Amino acid sequence: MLFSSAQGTAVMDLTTAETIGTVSACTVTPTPARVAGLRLRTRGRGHHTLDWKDVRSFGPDAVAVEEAGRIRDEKDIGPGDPAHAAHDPLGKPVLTETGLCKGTVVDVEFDARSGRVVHLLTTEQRIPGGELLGVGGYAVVVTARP
Amino acid sequence: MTVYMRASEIIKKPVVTLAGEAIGQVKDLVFDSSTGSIRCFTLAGRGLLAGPLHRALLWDNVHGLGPDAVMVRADSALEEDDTAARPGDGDRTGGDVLGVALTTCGGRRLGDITDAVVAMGRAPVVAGYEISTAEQRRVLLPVAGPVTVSDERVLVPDETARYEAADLGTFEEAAENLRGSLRRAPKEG
Amino acid sequence: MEWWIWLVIALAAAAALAVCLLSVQARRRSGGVIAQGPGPRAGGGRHS
Repeated sequence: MLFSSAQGTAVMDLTTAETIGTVSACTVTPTPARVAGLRLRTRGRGHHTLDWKDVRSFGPDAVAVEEAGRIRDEKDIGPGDPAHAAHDPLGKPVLTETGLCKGTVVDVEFDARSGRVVHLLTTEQRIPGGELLGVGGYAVVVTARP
Repeated sequence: MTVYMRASEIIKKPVVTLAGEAIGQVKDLVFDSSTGSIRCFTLAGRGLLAGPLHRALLWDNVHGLGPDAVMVRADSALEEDDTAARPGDGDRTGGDVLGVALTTCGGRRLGDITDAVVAMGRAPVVAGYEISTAEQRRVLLPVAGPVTVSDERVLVPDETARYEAADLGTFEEAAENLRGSLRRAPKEG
Repeated sequence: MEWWIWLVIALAAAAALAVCLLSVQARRRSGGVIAQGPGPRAGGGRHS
């Protein structure tokens, strides 16, 4: 599924059946390319992050979490953590390892079951997840196709 | 076919790790005047108020140099200091060639250097210069072999003046012709 | 003097300072093409 269609999906707590927040962004980590975490918009100030491994199921209408305690405040997450907001690919330029820009990431196509990233969609082309080398604060780096 | 780039296109390019973090931007290109080969880059920080980084990036540690960024494997690709960019023992002090006069050995001033032309590839070399002539024309002149550089001028063989190019597209032809003429008359220069 | 004259002077001083800082910063960051090479050949020069 496309990440843009998952934006705004409610995240529900399976123990209380309450909505904790809504999905606002995702973070992606390479080798293999997969969604590492979800950034949530919660009530009140600040952002919260949910690790992908704590997602019980990613349904079309709601994301299920075992308990609300799994949600972490973004302030407690270091930049080295794959769930840190710096690893959000949306809006970042895509650079090949040879230093060529291939457009800006506009969407992420991922498998809702495994979290595997199938494609990165840029303003210019679709880049297979297997070519992803890194997602950082400045750019998304991919291998140079021969 | 060799790809040529202007030095000004490399200067200010971001230096990006394969993890996608920008760790600086290129400040100076440092080249060996006896061979023309690029030795290293010096870097500046990326913030508006950031100054020089004082950490050199050796060419051997560059993973890829493209039109949009200089790629390095990781932050550790940078040297801990900038001694590589400073002249070593016995080296003539490193001088910036931008702005100095390009003069032939015969004593004719061809113009002031406004940019350098870099031949890209596995071992990039400074292959020529862009000069602004006395008539305010911008032309590209190829160089071959060692050049003598001082704070005042860059000395090139007399033949150089005959092989000017208007742009990077015709530069390769001019460089080929210059090399051909130097091969025919190896003693001159 | 009128009070607003001092305001104009202060603003002008601030603007001059900003221009100075910007030019210094541009110079710190501006790049070049640095030539390094062997010095005058040993034994070749008349000096030293």
